[in-house]
Amino acid sequence: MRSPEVAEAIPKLVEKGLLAPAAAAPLLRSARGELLSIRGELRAVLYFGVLAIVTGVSLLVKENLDRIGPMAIAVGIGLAALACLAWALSRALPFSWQRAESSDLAFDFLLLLGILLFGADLAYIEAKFTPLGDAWGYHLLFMSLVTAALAVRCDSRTAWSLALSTFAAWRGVAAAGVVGGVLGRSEVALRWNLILCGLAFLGLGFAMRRFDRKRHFEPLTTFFGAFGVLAGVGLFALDPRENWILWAIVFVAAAAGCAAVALRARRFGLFALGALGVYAGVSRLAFELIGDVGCGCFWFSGSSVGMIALLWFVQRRFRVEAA
Amino acid sequence: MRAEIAAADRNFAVRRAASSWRKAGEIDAGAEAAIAALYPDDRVRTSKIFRVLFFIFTWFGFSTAYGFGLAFLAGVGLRWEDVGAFAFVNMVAGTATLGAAEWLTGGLRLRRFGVEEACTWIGFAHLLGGWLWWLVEGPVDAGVALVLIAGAWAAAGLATLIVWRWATPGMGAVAAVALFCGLSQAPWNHLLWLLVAGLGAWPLARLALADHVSPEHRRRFGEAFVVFASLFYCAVHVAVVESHLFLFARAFEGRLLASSGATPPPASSVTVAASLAAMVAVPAALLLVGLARRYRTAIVLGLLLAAVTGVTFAQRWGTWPLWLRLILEGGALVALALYLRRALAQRAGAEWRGLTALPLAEDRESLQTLEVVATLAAFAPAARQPEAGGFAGGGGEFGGGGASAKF
Repeated sequence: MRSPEVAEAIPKLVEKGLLAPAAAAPLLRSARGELLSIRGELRAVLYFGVLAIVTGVSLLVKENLDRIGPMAIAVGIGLAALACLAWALSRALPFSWQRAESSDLAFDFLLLLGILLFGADLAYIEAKFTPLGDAWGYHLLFMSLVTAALAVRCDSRTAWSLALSTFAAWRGVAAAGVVGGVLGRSEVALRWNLILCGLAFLGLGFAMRRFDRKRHFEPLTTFFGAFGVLAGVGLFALDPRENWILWAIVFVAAAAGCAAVALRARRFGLFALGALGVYAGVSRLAFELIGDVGCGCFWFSGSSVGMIALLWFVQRRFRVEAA
Repeated sequence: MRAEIAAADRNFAVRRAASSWRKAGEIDAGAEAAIAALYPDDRVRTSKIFRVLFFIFTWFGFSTAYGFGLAFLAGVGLRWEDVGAFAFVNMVAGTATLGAAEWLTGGLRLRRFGVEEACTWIGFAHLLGGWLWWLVEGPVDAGVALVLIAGAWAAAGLATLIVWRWATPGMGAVAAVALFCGLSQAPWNHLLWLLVAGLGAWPLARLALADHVSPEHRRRFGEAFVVFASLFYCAVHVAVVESHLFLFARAFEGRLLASSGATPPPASSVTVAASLAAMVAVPAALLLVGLARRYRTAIVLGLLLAAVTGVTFAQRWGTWPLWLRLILEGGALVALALYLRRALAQRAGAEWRGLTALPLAEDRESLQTLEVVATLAAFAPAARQPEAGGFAGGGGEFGGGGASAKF
């Protein structure tokens, strides 16, 4: 990155032996503005290319179903998906439970395109030929498992995040159809599914760390898990038809636990989620108990100052790195 | 800006570079600590996430306290109909928060901390809001155009002062946008936009890269450059030219800045042709200058504006169906990226005229997080409520592993 300050500093750092001359040469050129990496720009171009292709394919299927014919569409998209996946698998590094990320800047995006086209093909076949009938939601489960397998094989965090979100969507679809029974209304079932899905992700994250299997996927998995649990409990706490006070207390406790664990692990994104959760939960309780708008203003201004003081203390105590 | 803040910012630039070198494995933690000792930074800074949290809670806390204060003032006799008093309260609150920002920056030595930045933005909003409130509702019978002109110039001036004093993020862009809002109400507004944006963009780009300018000021000049270049492109865009947008912009207040009153004639074919040519020339010029000077902002802006030109041309002349255009354009983008990657890799040192596709001590974790967020935002499937009447076949989720369109 171009920076006159860094360009001025590098020769001094080399002189003092803090930076190796070989490593310093490209860094100095970069700081002087003589060398620029356009890797990020190329990845952005790939991202928008994949986005346009997937949108175009979805429109193709929607608008030309009768003209092209179902078999031609299914085979065409399937072949395109296979080509992308074959390209990605041929360039993937040998499998390892540790980090084995491909250094090819196009790798993640062509793998993603292959997965998305495969998912589109599968969904099209399911919708057109209805092999699963009422249980059509299971194609989401299947897709999440296939995506997860490819993510682990190719060591792609992008694909792994997609697998987790597809799994959560499967549980959402499953819960949306529930009426009555143990879980009651469909929205109640959805909340319970969110909580259970979140707990499952938290468990998976713990296992990844414990058994040292794709440990670098663990932060993402844990974040998804914490988000699912807090979202599920939070929805209960917002529902006046439920025992919301109890749920709000559970929500505050869960968010506080999340923030505490995150602080210990120095994961500040997860800490922010927990801290905001604690604030929202306590405010829900306080505002309901105060019940007056004027006092509410007083609460929010006072509690904001309190939160700033708390965050200030935390960032000093844990020596948060400036960025 | 105080000299000691500029000096601290310069040292911080070196410390941040050292941090990225450590994350990329170029140096170890010991070397990073030694560099930090060589380049001391006496400012109180924090991480991006904490900065956002501090900003949110400061803004939220102030807003609620302000509401509480207004309720208190109403309780002691302030009437809401008293426009002057209400505007005065707003401006006092704005001045007080700007004073607080000065104290936080100078006394507590906060820098890129969120709290002082929120104070600056709150001060800006309340000072400007009070001024506009007085103009709209006050004793002066100000029309829309006068309010727009006075508000725009006040915003431009205040934002420029804030940039000069604290270099608060976003204020460079605000000052530039406000300047062009003010110019939009002047006679010959279209020509003025073209002249000011065209002549101002390049000096701003040079200042954004100048060694003698402090790091934060360079960023603010970069923001202003983006606004100037984008608005120049807007002024030459064929849709703006054909719809006579600049004439409409001046039609707010016929009394103050009279337009001709008649329906404007359609744009001549020469004007449209010049506009279309300029829509190609502006992104091309930005890309050429960006590549020649290795200025990332110009390259990214050139690419974005080229995409806008492509979409405009496709809409104007394209007869192909949308799905085909999307697939072809998407395929072309993927092919372009793959070609550039290969072309750069085959060059000596994997670079061409100072451009490379190799990572240069970049923070891969942050970039990957950004990509994961972008992927989930665009491709994550949504859980849906059951459709009325239950499942009837043929209503599956399109995408499964990602896309959520129904068909």
